[in-house]
Amino acid sequence: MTLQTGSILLVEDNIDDIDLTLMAFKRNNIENQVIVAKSGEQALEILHGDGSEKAPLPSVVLMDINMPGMSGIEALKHIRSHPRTRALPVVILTSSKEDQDIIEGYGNGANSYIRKPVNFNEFVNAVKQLGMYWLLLNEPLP
Amino acid sequence: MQFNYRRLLNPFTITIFYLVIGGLWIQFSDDWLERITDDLVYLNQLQTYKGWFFVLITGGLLYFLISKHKKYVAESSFKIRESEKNFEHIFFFNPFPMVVLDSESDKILLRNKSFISTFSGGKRTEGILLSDILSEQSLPEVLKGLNTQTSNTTLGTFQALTNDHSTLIVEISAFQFSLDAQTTRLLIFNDVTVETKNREKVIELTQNLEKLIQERTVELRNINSELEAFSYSVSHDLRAPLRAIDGFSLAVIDEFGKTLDPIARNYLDRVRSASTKMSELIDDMTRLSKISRTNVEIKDINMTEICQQITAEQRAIWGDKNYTITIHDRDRIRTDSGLLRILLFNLISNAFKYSSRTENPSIEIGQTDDKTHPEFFVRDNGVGIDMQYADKIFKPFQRLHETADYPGTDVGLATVQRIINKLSGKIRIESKKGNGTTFYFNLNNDHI
Repeated sequence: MTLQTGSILLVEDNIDDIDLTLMAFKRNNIENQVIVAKSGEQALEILHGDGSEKAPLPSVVLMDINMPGMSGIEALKHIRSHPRTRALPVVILTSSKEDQDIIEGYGNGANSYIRKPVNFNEFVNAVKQLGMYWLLLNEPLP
Repeated sequence: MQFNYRRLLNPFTITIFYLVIGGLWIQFSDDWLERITDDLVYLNQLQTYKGWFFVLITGGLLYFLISKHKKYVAESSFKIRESEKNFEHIFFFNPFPMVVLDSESDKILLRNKSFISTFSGGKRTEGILLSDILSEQSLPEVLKGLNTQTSNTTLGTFQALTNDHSTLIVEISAFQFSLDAQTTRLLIFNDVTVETKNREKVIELTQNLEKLIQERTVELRNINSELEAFSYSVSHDLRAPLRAIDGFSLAVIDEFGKTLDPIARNYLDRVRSASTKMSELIDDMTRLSKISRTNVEIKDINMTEICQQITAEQRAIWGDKNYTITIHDRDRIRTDSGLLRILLFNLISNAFKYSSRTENPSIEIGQTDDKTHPEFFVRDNGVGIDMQYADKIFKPFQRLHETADYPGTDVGLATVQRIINKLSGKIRIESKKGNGTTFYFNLNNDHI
């Protein structure tokens, strides 16, 4: 799957959370391309694509923390250490509100840290604001 | 100052005195006699009397001096015998084993009873050496100590062999003194075996205890990290399925709502509100477990300001009710800011909640007048509780009122109790059913 300009990379292993997030995008009429990576490793594969420097990057990466294999924090470290993705906006979107996770998230260069609300209405609202900010308001990397 | 006539009674002065008096007598007595008479026969007779008189006086003096000296010698020798007896008593019957050592060698000259009954070599009558009773390692150290230490001193602790072939730990002290005009040394043996063994035992016990504490600490640390992992899992992993329950229920309502029976819709609503409640519970429980893991950081805190902030927030939440709020001004307090805030939040929000159904709800926050045991209090005029259940309310999930009337997760006061424990404080409740509640608390870290 190739990334288009203005796309969103959702890194999430839980199938329910994937569907709910996609549902939330749909409810907010966000029609940008959403690419789903089910693990940190897969996310890095998608970001580095065929290795060409020209391949487009997503506007924002929505990253879960707790995933089997490479964790969200590990994936974030890789993203920040690679010249091509060093400045890519990464938003941590997780269930955890542990101080440790928040500190590690920001410490490793996350642009934002959002805790997924349990109440779906609140979640839809959070996704709406995320979309508004990162897809419309915020200028993506050239 | 009293004249000391004894100083005149030394042999030299007595002789000088005698020579002077005798010389003067010889020189002048004949002159005086010649002045009395010219009769040679009578003079001759007087001179004989004079000779007798002189002999009589010197004889008397001689008698006086000799008897005086004899008495003096008798007194002195009595004193010597007394002090010898005392020495014998102190030495021979002393409970500490003692010996008098030869000045040149390690030969033992005198032993007291205690020594004879305790130490090896005691049964032999003569020719006993220090080496007979000291262990091989100890002997050179003692001898070295005796040779280098000139003043009276404790030489240290050494091993000595007893009659029954066991080893004692003794502290040896050496004292120089003269005996029969020779400088000898008195050695005192103080048995410190029991003390030493006890000290060793105490050290061993302490070490064991430290080891035990270390082991327990590691154990506790493991349990703690397991608990941490558990609470992390609870707060994180339990939320994901809840989100799915709520999200998909809402999706069913939104997408198939039209075809749904009203009863089915109601059930779905209840599924959703249950999932919200559970997520709140998870959050509260996580917060509760976090308090125990918080590091307390004592700082100067403006308590009044915190109370004002919390009451302002609560007023906004209960906007439709008209609360009367009194906050008595309070100087600064020294405690952990984060924990104090959570503590006050729980007490104040409870006060708001449980007086929300009262006609003129009023809340008072302040400090008691008691100077020796001052307490802070949060008072409301709300629903109150039956005091016989008072001890239940500080435990999690205990509630005394209907959830429908006073919603909540029932973790608030358990959290309060945990903070109070963490800050080494005390909390108590005074309440009457239907007549308001006052929570009193103090914090050990607080400086009044």
